[in-house]
Amino acid sequence: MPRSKDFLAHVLSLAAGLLIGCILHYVLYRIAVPVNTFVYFFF
Amino acid sequence: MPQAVLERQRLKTESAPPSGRDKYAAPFDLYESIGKHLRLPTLASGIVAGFAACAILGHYAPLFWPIKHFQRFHHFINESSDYFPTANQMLTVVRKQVPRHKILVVIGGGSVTWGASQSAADVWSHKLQEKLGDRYAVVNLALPANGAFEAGYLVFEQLRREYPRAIFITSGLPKVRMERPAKGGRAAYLFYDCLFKGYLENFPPRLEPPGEADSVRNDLYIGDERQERWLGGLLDSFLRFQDLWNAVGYQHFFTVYTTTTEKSMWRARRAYADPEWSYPSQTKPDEKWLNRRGDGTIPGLSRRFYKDAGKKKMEKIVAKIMEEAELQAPKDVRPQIILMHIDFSPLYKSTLDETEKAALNRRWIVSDAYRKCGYQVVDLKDRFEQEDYADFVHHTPKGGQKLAAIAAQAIEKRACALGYLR
Repeated sequence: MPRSKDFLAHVLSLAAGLLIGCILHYVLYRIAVPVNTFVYFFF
Repeated sequence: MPQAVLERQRLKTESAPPSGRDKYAAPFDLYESIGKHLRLPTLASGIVAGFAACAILGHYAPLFWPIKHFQRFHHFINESSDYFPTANQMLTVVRKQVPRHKILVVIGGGSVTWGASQSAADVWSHKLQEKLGDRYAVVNLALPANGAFEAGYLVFEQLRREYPRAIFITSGLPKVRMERPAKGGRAAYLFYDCLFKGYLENFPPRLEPPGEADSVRNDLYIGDERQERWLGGLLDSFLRFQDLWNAVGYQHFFTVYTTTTEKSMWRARRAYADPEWSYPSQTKPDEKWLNRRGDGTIPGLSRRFYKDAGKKKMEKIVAKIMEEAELQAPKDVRPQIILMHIDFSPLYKSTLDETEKAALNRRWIVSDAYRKCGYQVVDLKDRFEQEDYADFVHHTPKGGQKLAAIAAQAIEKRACALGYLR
């Protein structure tokens, strides 16, 4: 794989990772909020 | 077979149209493509970095995006619309509004002190501020449906460390007991929020699991909820997800669906104004409150506790109330606490028969029990008229004005006793 493409793959992976990290943090908030309804969680 | 023939056969196979099975093969394999382009170590570092960045941001979010023009936690920034203000948000509100040299007056408790039935302009805490003057700074941290020692009280334990002159004023529904904050229920989140962030005084007795005395309230909640709140508070003390996403919800966009905001659930909560409006005096009692069974209703109260209990039983009950009072707040905080023991509307009391009236009047022993434990208690018995009530217990703006006058007097007296006016 050319070098520039490899770099792009790293950037994309990092961006995806950051996003997933934020989502996981948000999921903790939604679990901790005293609204435990399953339906609420997905809204 | 000669090489040339083999080569010709290979070319023929490759250029042939796809067979039946190949025709349905996926032209693009997503997983393979992701696998080819993703760098797993970089992805993992990204996840850790994203999570850590959120946790760090959470430590500062209440400062970056504080609640502005705060008057009280109105419907769109309190639990009635699934917004659960955190201890740090409450503390930031006070720190930004109140200079250290003023006498801080924190209002706690439930809907009565929150100012239900009074619009933002008419809320009783404004009247209290006017009556007390510039020397004092009043902040209303009450939350509807919270107990006397929930909501504002929990952050008060931290505020009294920061403000050399601080007084806490709260109200208790005339129940058998005041609620204890460490128990379950929606408000318990704030207790554990404060506990794990070190805002509460070291007072082990209140951490004891709810006993038999708390059974009435425990029945209302799911069994393991208390444990969930405990775990949530513990994790949040270092990951700060509540502080971050609450602040984001206030400042930028909100993400929880609620029926009250169903048409604009994404809108940031700072965009909403306080929707409470001033109610007129009630002239006809609401039958539901008279007939419904339950703790909070007047006949319910008389039935449950205040019926003719006999001397020995009453002594036992008083002992139990005192036991509860001992668990509410540490001894050294109690001189700074003023508890207003509220009364019902005369409109409802007039519907009771003589036995029920007598029974209801016995509830003032709660005040005596709390006084014996070192709390300052103001009895609001018979101090309001029918026109001061918008329903069985909440005050109209006029009633709020009266409440402010009574509270101001009690606060000034306490401030004097504590040496704050020197």
